Amino acid sequence: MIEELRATLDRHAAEVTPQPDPYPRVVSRHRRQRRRVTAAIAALAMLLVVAPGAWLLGRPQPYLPVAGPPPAALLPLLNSPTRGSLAADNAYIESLRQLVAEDDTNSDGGSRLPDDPGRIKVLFAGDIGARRIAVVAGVDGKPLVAAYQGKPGDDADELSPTMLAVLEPALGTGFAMDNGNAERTYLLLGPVGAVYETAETRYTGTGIQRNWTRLDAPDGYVGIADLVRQQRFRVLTGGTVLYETEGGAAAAPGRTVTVDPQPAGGRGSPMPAAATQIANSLATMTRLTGPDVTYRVLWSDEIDMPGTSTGRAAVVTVQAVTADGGGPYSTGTIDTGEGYYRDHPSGYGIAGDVEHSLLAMRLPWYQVESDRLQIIAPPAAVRAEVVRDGQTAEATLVKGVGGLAVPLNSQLTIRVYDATGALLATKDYADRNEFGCDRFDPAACATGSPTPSATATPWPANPGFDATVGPVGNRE
Amino acid sequence: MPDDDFQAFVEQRYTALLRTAYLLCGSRDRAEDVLQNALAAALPKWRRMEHPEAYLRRVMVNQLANDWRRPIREIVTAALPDRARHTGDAVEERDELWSALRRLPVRMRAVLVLRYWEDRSEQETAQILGVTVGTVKSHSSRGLARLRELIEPGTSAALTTANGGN
Repeated sequence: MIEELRATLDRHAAEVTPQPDPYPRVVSRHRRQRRRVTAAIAALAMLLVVAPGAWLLGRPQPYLPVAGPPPAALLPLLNSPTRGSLAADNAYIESLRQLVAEDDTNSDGGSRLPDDPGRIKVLFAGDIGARRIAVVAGVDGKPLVAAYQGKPGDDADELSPTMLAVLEPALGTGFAMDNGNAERTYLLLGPVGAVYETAETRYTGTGIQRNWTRLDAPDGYVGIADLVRQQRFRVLTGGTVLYETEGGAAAAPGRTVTVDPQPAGGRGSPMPAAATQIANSLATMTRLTGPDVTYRVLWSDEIDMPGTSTGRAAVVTVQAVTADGGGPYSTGTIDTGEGYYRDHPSGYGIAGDVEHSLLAMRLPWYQVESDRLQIIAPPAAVRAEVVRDGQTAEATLVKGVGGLAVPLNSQLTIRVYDATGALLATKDYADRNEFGCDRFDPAACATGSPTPSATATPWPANPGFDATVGPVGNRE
Repeated sequence: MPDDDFQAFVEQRYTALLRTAYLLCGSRDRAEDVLQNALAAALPKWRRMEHPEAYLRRVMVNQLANDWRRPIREIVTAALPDRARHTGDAVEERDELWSALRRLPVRMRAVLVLRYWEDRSEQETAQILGVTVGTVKSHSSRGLARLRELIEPGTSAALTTANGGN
């Protein structure tokens, strides 16, 4: 019975895949809940402080929109004409504005769209594919935008709200799976005259490629009836990017991928369960699940890890190998006792083939951040030189793997050599403690460049310095 | 207060946690909802949280136990509406054991999911749920017995837990 129960649970669990973008939805929900708590506290305070005279004021007033004109950056969009196939239907547009103004569910726990129809702007109204869509915004000091959906032919009051957010200079929003309609309708809308572009993210062994191509927008917007895959979009005006977003979902987010747990080149020990988990999370992040992509373990081992329930953790670096033999990699540790996962910004990147790639990273931590620099070099490497501020330290490598203590927030040059003394690979490394806008290739982002510490730390005279630390993971 | 470490955790663990949530409640919509609520509750405490996975599971179970009938009104601000597809429901209805599991009380069901799907020990399960080990044992044995009753009417003998005991 227990095995049957396990099989049943396994089978049903395997059918579950998450909706796209879980993290933004968590943050959004947290903010809504926080605002509700704030509003509740404010309401309670008001009851306690001013309740004796409040009855004079009659019905409590609704929370009003933020007074003042909209921010200048939003004016091009707010001043643009209504787009969509119903844009010229004045009666429909007016009924939409009336509906939105009267709809007190258009409240985000404190903020809400104005209750004056004259302060509601209909940005879009029309049919895209088998879905009727309306997008409206408030015209006030902090404009919100709301989206509604229904089926073609629906009156304004038959549409259902699907989204409420703070308005940006342009917007991309999706509509999916409502009333049996499984089309993933997608709308990209910017100011009049905007240029719309799309790109697919392509990972290779040398970096990330995005080739932008212009989308046709004869009616001043891009409406996609069924966005069946994940795509990156941006909206430009005058050559300036106003807005960039990732739309749609991968064809199979969370799809299981397989990985050979044996580390490439014998670098470490196999950690099958952790490797599978990290490979799948890498697949989810990169959407690299196609038949031309394989997954391999670049390094894995079980290491001492203060702060875990057992004091040990499995550490695995997994790479998604694309057609050119390289691709994105990620590193994670999993507590061998309770299974808690950790990662570190430096554990992500892009690498080429095993025989030529040199990786360096800080290890994830649970209790206290370690100053150990982990080196994963070509398997033939036996020695690493680490240069910091003109001073050189060395580390012994076993099958290309080793490490040494290096002060945090360092900028380094790392060279690795084989047994004959031949230089195998060189890498410039800078610590980074935050994820950039693209965690696999921070250099591709304007804000993601690593920033070395401005405070010099003596090195290798650092008391914690140990230039001869071998591969981690040996328990004895 | 978005937090990169928290973001990474969500991205890495979301699917696994969602599956646990789904097994706890039997509804994809509800699973997303309770998990999102639990993560939203965890976000401000993240930096000082010792055992986030245990915390999230307990919050999810408590939500389901205490909040089961509350209607959910969801307005999302993410790119896609927070709705799920229900293509599997017809199959689910024909799955006898799954249907029986869905008829168990929330905490009893949670014990079975944690013990036999997540392979948690009785002690771990007790810690996660905030109950005693004795409660875990009784929920486990009674839950299995109840399942057998539901799928084999007339049979009430308690099932052995030898395979799952530890």
